[in-house]
Amino acid sequence: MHDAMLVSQVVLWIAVLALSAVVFALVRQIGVLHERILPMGALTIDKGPKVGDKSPVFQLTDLAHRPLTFGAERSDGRSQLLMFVSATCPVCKKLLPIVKSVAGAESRWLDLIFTSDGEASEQDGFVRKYQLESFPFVLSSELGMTYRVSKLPYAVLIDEEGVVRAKGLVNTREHLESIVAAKQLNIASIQEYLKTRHVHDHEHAPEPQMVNGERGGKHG
Amino acid sequence: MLTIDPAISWTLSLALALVFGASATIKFADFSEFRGALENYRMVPEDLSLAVAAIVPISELGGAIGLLVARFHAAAAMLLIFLLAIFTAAIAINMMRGRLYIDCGCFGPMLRQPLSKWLLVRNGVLILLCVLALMPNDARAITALDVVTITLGASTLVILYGAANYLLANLPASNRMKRLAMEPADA
Repeated sequence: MHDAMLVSQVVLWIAVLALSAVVFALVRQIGVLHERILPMGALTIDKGPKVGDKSPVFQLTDLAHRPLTFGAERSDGRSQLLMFVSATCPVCKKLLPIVKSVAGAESRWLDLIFTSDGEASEQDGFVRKYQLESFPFVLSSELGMTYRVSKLPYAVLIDEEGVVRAKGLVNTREHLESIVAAKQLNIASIQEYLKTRHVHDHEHAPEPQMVNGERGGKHG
Repeated sequence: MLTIDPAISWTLSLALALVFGASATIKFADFSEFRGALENYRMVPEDLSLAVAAIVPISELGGAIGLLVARFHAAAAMLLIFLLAIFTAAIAINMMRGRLYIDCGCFGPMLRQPLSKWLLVRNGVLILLCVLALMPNDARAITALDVVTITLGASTLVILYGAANYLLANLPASNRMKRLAMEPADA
């Protein structure tokens, strides 16, 4: 009797542990499903001006009251990288030094512009703290609405003709570099960048779906 | 004085140690992100945020290890109760300020959770478990079967805790889906 109780106890514990592991896996899968169904996990959210489309032209004023045009054709041949950031987004703070260093390395052909919405007074402290004074910083809710930005930090790259060359959520240096490389390599988004790499890896076996932040991790 | 069976006490202690050990590791692994999340709470002056961001995971780790060492058990449980009380207060204060959209910062970039009353419930449960672990044990020798109960029981609790947190993280998406289902579809 004692042995039977002992065995039953151990077997039940193992079963309980296995069941909770299954519950955990199921809950995780629900999370992954949510990301696939909703645009929240997508690196490129399929709304707003598409890659290859002409960007609408914006006449803006930055925090230092300097006029700035975004999206127009430019005679100097320089591209523009628009970074949507916010003082309340931890990932943005982590990414700011990376953005600045990438923009510095590509400064021959690329202008970096930061944008956010909200109160100017709040942004001043943010700009000072992260030493963004050397870049134009515009407050505009119009930009974010036009590009349907729902998750930060978000980047839009337009070329000298005002054509959108790449856009998407950028959580890491790799994401940002894929956006910047888009112009030179003619790749529209990180998904396409990864897809070409993926197809390359597994010859003749392209994945039917290689979207929604497969590499992007959690954007929730 | 109320006492608790040693097998239950050890199960809780091991589970809590694993939870807080993991929590501290995640915070150290992406320290700048945790610091950003902490600054979003707007509870400490920005000059102190670096110090506080370091103290929190160090205390969590200290509490986690201390729980498993008989000598420091009680002190560690009290440290964790103190930490949980501060976390809970910080979440409650920011909820009252209406800053529901900030990330809880509990699990770093791995699992983002906006503030909600469920986080308060979750922390309440953790505090309760710490209090139970603090209670004196019955005088009873630990047997081999107790070791099975303790290890498998603690593993189960940790996995269920992870699952509960995933459910919380899924909550905004699932609410959005409910709203979408009610609205007529448009482009």
